[in-house]
Amino acid sequence: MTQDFRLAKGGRIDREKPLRFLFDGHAYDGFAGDTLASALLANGIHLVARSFKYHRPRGIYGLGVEEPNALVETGIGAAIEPNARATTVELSDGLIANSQNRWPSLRFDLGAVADLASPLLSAGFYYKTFMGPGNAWKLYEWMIRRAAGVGRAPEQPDPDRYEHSFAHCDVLVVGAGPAGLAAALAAGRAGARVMLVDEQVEPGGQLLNTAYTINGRPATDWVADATAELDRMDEVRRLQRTLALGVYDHGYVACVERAVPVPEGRTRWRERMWHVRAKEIVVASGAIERPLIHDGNDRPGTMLASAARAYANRYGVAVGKRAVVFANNDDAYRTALDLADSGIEVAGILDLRHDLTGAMPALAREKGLRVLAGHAVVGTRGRTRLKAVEAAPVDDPSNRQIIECDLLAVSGGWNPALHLYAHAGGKASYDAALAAFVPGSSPERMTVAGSAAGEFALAHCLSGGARAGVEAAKRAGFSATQPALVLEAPEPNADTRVGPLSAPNRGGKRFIDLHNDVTEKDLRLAAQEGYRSVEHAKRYTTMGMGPDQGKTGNILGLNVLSDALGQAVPQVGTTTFRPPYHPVSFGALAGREVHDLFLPTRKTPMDSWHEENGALFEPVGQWRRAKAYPKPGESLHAAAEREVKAARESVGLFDASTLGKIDVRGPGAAQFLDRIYCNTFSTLKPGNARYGLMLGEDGMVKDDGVTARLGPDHFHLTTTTGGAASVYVWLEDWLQTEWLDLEVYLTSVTEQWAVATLSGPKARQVLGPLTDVDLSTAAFPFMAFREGRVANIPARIFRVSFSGDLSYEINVPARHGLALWQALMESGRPHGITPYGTEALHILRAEKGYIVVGHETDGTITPHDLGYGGMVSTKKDFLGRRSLGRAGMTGPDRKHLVGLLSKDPARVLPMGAQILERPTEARPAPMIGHVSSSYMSPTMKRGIAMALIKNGRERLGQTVYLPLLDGPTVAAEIVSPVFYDPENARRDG
Amino acid sequence: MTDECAPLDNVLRPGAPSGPSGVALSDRRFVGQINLRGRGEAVTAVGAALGYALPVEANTTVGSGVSRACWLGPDEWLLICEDDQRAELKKRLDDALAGHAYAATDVTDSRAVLRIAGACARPVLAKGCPLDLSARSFGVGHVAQSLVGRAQAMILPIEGGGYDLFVARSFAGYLWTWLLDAGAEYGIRVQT
Repeated sequence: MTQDFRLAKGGRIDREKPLRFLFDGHAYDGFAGDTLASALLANGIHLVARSFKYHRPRGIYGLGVEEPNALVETGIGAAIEPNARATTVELSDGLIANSQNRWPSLRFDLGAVADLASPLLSAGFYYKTFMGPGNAWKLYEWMIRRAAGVGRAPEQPDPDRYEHSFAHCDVLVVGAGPAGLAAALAAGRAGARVMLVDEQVEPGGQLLNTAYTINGRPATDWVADATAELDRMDEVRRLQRTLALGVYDHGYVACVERAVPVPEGRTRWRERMWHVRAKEIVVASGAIERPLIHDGNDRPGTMLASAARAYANRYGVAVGKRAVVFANNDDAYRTALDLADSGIEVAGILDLRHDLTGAMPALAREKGLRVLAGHAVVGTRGRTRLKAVEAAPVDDPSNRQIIECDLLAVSGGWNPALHLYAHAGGKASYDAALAAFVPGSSPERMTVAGSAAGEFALAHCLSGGARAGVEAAKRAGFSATQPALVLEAPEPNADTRVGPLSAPNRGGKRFIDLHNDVTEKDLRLAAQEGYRSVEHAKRYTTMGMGPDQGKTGNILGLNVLSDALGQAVPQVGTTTFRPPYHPVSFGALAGREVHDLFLPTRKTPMDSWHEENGALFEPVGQWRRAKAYPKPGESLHAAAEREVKAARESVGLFDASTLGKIDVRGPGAAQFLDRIYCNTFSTLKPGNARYGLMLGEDGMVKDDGVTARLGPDHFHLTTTTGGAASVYVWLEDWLQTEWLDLEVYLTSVTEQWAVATLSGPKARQVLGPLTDVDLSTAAFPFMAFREGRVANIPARIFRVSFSGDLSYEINVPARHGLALWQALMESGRPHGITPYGTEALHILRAEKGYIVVGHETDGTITPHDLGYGGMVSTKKDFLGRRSLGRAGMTGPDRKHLVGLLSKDPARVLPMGAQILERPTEARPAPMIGHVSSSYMSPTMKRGIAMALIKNGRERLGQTVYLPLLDGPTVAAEIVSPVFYDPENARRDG
Repeated sequence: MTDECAPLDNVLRPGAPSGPSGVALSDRRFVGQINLRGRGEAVTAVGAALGYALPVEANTTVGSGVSRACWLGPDEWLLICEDDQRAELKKRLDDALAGHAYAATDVTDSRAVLRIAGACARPVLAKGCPLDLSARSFGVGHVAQSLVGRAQAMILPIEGGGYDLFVARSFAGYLWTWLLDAGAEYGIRVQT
């Protein structure tokens, strides 16, 4: 299709490179350098979308991220991207785009019946549905859920790759318009490391859109020179297609870079998230033009004035054949003049102001343009495309004249883009002459320059930018030795004040938020219904809550609220600017933290053996641990049962390498452990080990483990797998900040030692042939530690037990872990050695009544609750001691650890099940406790459970009741938690 | 002695990406590592035994002869050497520190050492490390503990461009995979 609206010349598109693309299934042509929006406009396509609520026909309205209307879907299949702004989609050959929110077609959309029902869909409609009548909400909900949302998410996994990178700089400049370029040049010349990020395809900002001169030459020449100079500087990094999304503490700025599109479709990466740390930030993010409030202001063919001139100047596109400019300020006259220069007929300039004193209206009149002062648009005609506007004097709105046109270029002045400034904590102040919020005092590390600072004249943008760059570099430690930038940019002496923001109301639809279909009437209704706070009115009406976040309409809305509430605009205030400045894809946020790289999988030195021998793994924190080693066809339950039997009857082998291990050394080591543990370690003899309970300052059990004394001032402390890192940090914390009287050094050795645990009556026979250590009970009793060699590997052997049977924990340097494991398996073969996993481990320890921190404790359990009160020393101070003495830490209300046996031995009580005193209780029933661990015990040949029950130790022998989720209420008897070998004969033998 | 298993022995497999590349990845298998903690006179005593003073400026490293000392904290250093030198180094430390309070702990097996070298080593590392890696602030003579992806690592810049990444043994496979993935953009070659 021919590009009927492409101007014969001009623009920054490459007419040598035609591109073909599809929109709603029709093929169109554009050029390299086009956006999807400019290419559609070149083909005369304005209608591209249906609005969110009323499904009204909507056209391309803006130029970039501020676009409220032209949300389209790009790509197909898995690569679908919903809600892409046609104004920011770079045209590429073969691009496929489709309109959204319409059925069956864009021109004929059945959803538009909502428009007829609009009187029912007023402000707060959604909230009002909650008010009834009766069951009506069920119907409303069905309707709302069908209507809600814009665009559709792709259903297949995202095929694209997203990268993340960290970057650091002295000065980050956001925006490569005149102010940003000048800032980057000034800072770069001072020697600072500069990053210049800009959302556009090429630098220049407004200089690309409007015909300016700098130093007597076209401004774009200066842009090219400045860019070339920046690119020659080693310490300057310039990123185009990069949007600064948010500013956070300590100079952290999140940016997203889009890849340059390639004809083949898939780029090496699609987006890259930049985590930038900047010493100084210069915000040169420019300004966003706002429209005016007038009847029929959403007709396709209505557009921001600055966008209309940019399409002509930058893309060589005539947005219409015959234009009307409707404005309240001098800048809009540039649009009229540029459109006229491009050969577009300008049918008239309607200016809401009565007294036109600035140079621009005079210039327009000189050029023969028709300027109507004190006039407004009071209505528009056309359905899917503007055909005419109704113009009338502001003071006599019924005195209408029809002006035929297919383009209405609207300008209500400019809003500085203060988003990043506000993210950093900047407080904006209201400038009544500009009818805009401008930056107040600067937050730390930040300078706002150019039109973002409300300095709209080009000369001010350039000088302000340069000054900001020099100052930022200076604060970052660089002083400018180069001469200052001198840039001349003469402009006509424009009137910088803006006029009224609103045309006379003749009862038509007057949109404030085009995306969310919020009208002036909605806002007035919200004010009338008592929503006096701007934040409440926003949520009630949804103004500014669409994907564009009200970039064009919010100031208009504030003015309406100000009028309705009888408060000045600064008193009404703004809503909060929150990151991101522009919607960001999930892919960019996730980066490469997907699939295998989502989280690290920590593997033990013996992991490869487990894998080769059919282990079923389970994640324990980031570790993967063997849960069981099922034989082919064997269930987890059967495997665990087999493994438990082996560890009870012959011998089992367990990989305990994940246990936390801390080497504790120094003259204060014994005293340190006495303070850390509730029981005593200073009395422990070298060569022996002791089980320790570590409490938090609240007196609750925090961690547990066995600690051995290697020498007078040297201990080997173990923690739970999950507690390894946090206990290490906790211990360091006490040493570094509180207990400076102790000289103790900690070294984490968790990963240094591989640990294989032999457990079972034949453990001694398996280990004996491999070691030079005397394993006899007399020489090496329970809770002792010996050093020696195992399988010719230097080893530390701890005779401790977490199964209740004879057990040796053998520690060797990690590189030998696999060899040790293999040697033990080999030596154990004649004894039927069986590797066992964490499932069997849990059953073994539960049979013995041993606790697991996190199962039997939950941060509210004291040693006394566990029945370990005897361990708590009364002779020394330790962390948590004072808390243990507080009221409520003892007495009949405490929960005690007890055993629980279901009356039906075949039943395994569910972990977490709640426990009642009586089988039938009025609901809510008083719960006296819960099941903390529960297994089918192969040794006891019945279900066993551990439970925390109020005053449980005083209830031994009583029957309690567990109402199960799946139906029955089950009776169980409270017993001792030690089910197996209560005399410890097997453990100590 | 039995078979030794370096942390990446089960990760490194034939068929890893190779060819022209901006970055080369290799496994240093075993690097002798002794964690040293001590204060005051102990620090001076170590300096005499090593032939150089332990670095006291944060995140710096000094080396000479068979060993290199990396600053980890105000009273903590990681001494690195060849794997077969560590027993001798540890003995020298223990001898020099007799009578002092200190902890010299052989932690050689607790960390793998992955080396990335080549022109693009820095941008590869910058994909997952929040530190400022520019030559201005982080070159040879510096050392730092930080994150690479989701693994903690000690990062030691090496002569000729590139880094040795000291990572806990259990994370080595993850970091290896992470580096191969991050390096794909620049072309990454596995050096064995």
